[in-house]
Amino acid sequence: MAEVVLEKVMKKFGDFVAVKGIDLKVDDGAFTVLVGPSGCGKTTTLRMIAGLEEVTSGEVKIGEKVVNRVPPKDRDIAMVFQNYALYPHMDVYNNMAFGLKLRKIPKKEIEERVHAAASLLGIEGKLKSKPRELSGGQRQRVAVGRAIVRNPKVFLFDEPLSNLDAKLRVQMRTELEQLHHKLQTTTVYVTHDQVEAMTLGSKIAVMRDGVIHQYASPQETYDHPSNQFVAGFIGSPAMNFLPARATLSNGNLILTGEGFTITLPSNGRIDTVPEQVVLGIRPEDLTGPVSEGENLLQVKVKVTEPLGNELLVYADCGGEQVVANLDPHQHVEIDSTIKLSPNLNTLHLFDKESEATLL
Amino acid sequence: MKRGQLSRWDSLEARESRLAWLLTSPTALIVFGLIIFPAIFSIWISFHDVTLRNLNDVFHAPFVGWKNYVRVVNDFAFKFQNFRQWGAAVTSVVYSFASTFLTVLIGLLAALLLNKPFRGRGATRAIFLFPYVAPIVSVAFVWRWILDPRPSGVLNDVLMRLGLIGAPKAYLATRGLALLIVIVFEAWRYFPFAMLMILARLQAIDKTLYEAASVDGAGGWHKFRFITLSELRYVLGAVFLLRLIWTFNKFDDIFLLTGGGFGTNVLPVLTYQFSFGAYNFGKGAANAMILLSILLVFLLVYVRTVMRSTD
Repeated sequence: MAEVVLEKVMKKFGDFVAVKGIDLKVDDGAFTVLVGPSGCGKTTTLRMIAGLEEVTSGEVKIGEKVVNRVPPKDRDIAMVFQNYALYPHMDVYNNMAFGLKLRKIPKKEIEERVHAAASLLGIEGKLKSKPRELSGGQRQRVAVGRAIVRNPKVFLFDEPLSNLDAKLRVQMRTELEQLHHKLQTTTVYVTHDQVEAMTLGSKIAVMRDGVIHQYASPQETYDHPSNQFVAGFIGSPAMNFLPARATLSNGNLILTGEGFTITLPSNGRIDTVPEQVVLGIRPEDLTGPVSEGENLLQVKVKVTEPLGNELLVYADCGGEQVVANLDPHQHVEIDSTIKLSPNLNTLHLFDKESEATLL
Repeated sequence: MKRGQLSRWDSLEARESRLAWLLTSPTALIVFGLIIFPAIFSIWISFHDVTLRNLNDVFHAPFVGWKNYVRVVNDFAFKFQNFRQWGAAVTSVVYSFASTFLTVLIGLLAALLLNKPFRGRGATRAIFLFPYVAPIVSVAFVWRWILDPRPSGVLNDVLMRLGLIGAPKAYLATRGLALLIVIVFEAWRYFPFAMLMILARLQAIDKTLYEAASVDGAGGWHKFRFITLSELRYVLGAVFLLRLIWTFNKFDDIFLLTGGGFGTNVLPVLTYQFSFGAYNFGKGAANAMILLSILLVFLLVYVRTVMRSTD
């Protein structure tokens, strides 16, 4: 058990800066998820923690100790790779026992640990199988088993579920959650899937272009995104963004755009606004259709997706696409013009220039 | 015949099959004429007394049963006499196994070297291929020139100038040393083949396996032993057996270097000597059949292990 700390960590590949001096502190026993679009530097960051990539500058600490020059084998970490990286010529038992054998652990203890891990993961019957004889989910379990038998200070996961089909992914996700609950080992987990990030992480670090934009609990990132990028990345379907003009008058913030005029009591929350802003409304914060009222969005319905538990309406609002997650027990006509009511308490406002959160 | 129903002769299947026969027949003819017929004829000759005397009336040569085989097996050039006179059978086995082993070993080392990127890797790769692509006659004569027994021989000259030897040596005419030299020559000439095969497999090894092993606690040696060698096992076995079969059959290399003298006589060269030295074609054919039967054993091992392996 140990905490993982990154201080001003930078990674350059030639002239390309993949990770731009990030700071990150993963508490002992925490489950931290690095999430972001492809090429955001999340995997590079993970590989630097593992020691598979050299740090260009800055410090990586595992349990107080700076490990920049420590080879992976001496960092006491275990990693689960995206393609599992199981040793193809070894059976499941030996795949899991390999790291223990190299550490000269007594044979009897190896046996106990491998069997314990195998039963925890439900692969006891497969110990004599070769990796190629296993299904994707079973390979995934072996890869996780190989990590947990070592009983390392830190677990590193590199998009471990991305090669599984949707159903299995959900199942393995809950299993990983239970596993972490049981073992309480510090974990750093990389994914591009925000749902995985939200469900697994005790804290999530949202990355883009080698920078961490927000590092907070999943709920915090959802409720109070630090900027427009985080707001758009976290949450599904993604937040709607509508360009608007903002004015302050008599303590009220007035937002006008094509298809809407919204008046918000500012309540002193905001003193100055740039003229050009972006209004952010989550699909689940829209209700309707409503016939009359204040502060409504007038939209033209393009597509409807009834999903049983919810009704997704894709509509056009002054040239911008708006998605609304509505009550499914109603009928919304395609090509009709309807009015939607946003929840004024959960509106987000961003500076159009800097994408910074204003409200 | 009803309309719409095609005769068997006209059916698509029949036409395709006729085309197949048409297209493969030239190859089939060449294979039969140049390989199958001579092979069967050799078996026939090996049981008949065919020499220079009756060569123009070969089909009336007297049948002699196993006599040719008995004479080959008892021939001093074939049979193991003592530790100084190995005979071609033992020499062939020692020569083939030793040079094949050395070929694969050097090929493996070269492949490992070229697997890592470094400046001038492309040029090194091309240079390494040279012994394999150069014509055998020219490289054999370069080696003979270097090892020439006269004081003007390259190696003799260099060693004498350095004061390491007092008098010129006849390297290729020294028992033991000559065999060692042809073994080294063989390994030097054919390691690029092994290298290419091994390199191709080496570059296909999933790099994350090494990363997983690093994280698992493996150092350089462990990674080589448990990942590289395990992943190469199949290609190493295949290259070893192929080279063994080819080397066992090899005639030109030894013939050009030593002519089969000084303890380097192998079965293919002996076949030549029986047939075109002594003009005893029956004995030559019998010797070739013995060579073939040993080869068939190797081939069987190859088919059963390498070709059956599903790894």
